Amino acid sequence: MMFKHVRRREHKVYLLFNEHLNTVGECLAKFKEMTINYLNNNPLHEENALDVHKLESKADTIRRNIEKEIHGGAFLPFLREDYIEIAERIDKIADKAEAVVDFYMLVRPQIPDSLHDAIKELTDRTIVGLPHLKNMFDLLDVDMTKVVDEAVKVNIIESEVDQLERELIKNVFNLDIDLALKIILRELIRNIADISDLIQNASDRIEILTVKYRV
Amino acid sequence: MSSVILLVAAGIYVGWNIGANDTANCIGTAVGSGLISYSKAVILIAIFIILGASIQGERVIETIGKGIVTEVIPVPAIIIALLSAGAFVTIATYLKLPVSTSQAIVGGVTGVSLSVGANVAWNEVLSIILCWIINPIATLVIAYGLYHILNALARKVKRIRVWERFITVLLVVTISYMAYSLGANHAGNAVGPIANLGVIKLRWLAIIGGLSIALGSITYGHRVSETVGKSITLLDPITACAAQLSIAIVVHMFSILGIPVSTSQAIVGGVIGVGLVRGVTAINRNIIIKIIIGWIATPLISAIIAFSIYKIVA
Repeated sequence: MMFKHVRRREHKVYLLFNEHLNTVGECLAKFKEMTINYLNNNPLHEENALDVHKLESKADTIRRNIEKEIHGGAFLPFLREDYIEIAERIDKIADKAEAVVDFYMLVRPQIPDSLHDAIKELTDRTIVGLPHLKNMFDLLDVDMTKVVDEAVKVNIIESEVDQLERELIKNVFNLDIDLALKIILRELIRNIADISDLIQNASDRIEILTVKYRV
Repeated sequence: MSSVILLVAAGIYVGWNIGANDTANCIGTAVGSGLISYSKAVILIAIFIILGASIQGERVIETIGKGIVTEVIPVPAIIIALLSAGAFVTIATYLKLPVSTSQAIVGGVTGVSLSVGANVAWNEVLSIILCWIINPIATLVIAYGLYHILNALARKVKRIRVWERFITVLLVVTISYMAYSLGANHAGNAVGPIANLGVIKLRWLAIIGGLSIALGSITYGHRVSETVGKSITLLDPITACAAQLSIAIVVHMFSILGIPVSTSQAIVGGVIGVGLVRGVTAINRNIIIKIIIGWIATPLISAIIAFSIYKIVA
């Protein structure tokens, strides 16, 4: 059959996307673990940071393999750009987690005890959109019409995280601490919240893909 | 014998021109909208052009060879008819204008027949012109209806990879059918005038016509493909398939009736038909006007060239 090799390649890309999303998921889990250990002064956070780096690097390799397969002829040409864009946006989630970890490791911010719970909550909430993103991708191959429902969930999570981010920054600037530390903490909080923005960006792109078939 | 070889060579030249110019009408929308690569599409259409010409090409050959002019005309007149039409199409192809080879050859045969002083079957010529008018209108209507049918079918598909497969299969079917119709209809344009002499069997002429068109597609078809696929209106996959399929149906219908029609006219009808679904503003009107001018000018210029050259040579 003329297009058999193309279908094999497409199947491979779907498997790679799954692996990519799982790797990014592991990366975010390690990022969360690292944050908790850092806040608890547990030296394990150093090891967690290394794990995040390794997983980010693995996600990068998978993304490159996805792009290689797509450029090799998987999917209809007018859809290829969308798939590549989705892979790049998923990859940026892991990049951001790595950037936050680097921030912890390089800046070593002294986080006041009163903020620990709020930062743990923000970290927890900012990554919960990822399983929905994974569901969205899985639904492409099951029922595209349900992708929108998952996208709505991602959007709600992103709004909640935005709210948490604003409250947290407000609290930081109400604390009686050095202004430099306030600015450092604000940057940290913003970076953590950016993860949910990036999950939403990837979810938007999957939605665009489903809209294309309805043109 | 040498005059027969000369005639066949001229026929192959015209066939090559048809392939170069009309490949765009077969695959322009599909390649232009990024559905299939040019190299894959051109191999597919070469095969089906040859099949169409061999299986159903004889009726149009008969019309052009023995329908327009009712008596045998001299060999040089046939060569002039073929070459004047061919040269006109070559220039149009070079300028990336999707002109009608059917109109060029009908114009060339009519012009040279008048120059020779042979009896032109005006009823037949008028029937052909009437079909040229019906051709884009019929394609427009069918394209409009097909778009809605295909879109409804596509919307039933829930899985994106199944949808892609649906589009791919639909695309292969439409391109193949389009190429088949092109071969069935346009083999007559390439070698039809030679049938006037009755020295080569119609079936053999059809095969020669099909092969020469396929050769043109493979070697020079890429030039016009871009213009047709992207300039008239930007097409999504369903739109592209609806336009292609409607053209294939109409051109095939006329091939069965033995009428040489223009795929260039059909494609414009098809593209307007699907464009209407999105509103007329989606269509590039300037390009449509240019193409309409080309339709009127093509048979006239071709007839005048053929008429004048024969007068000068004679």
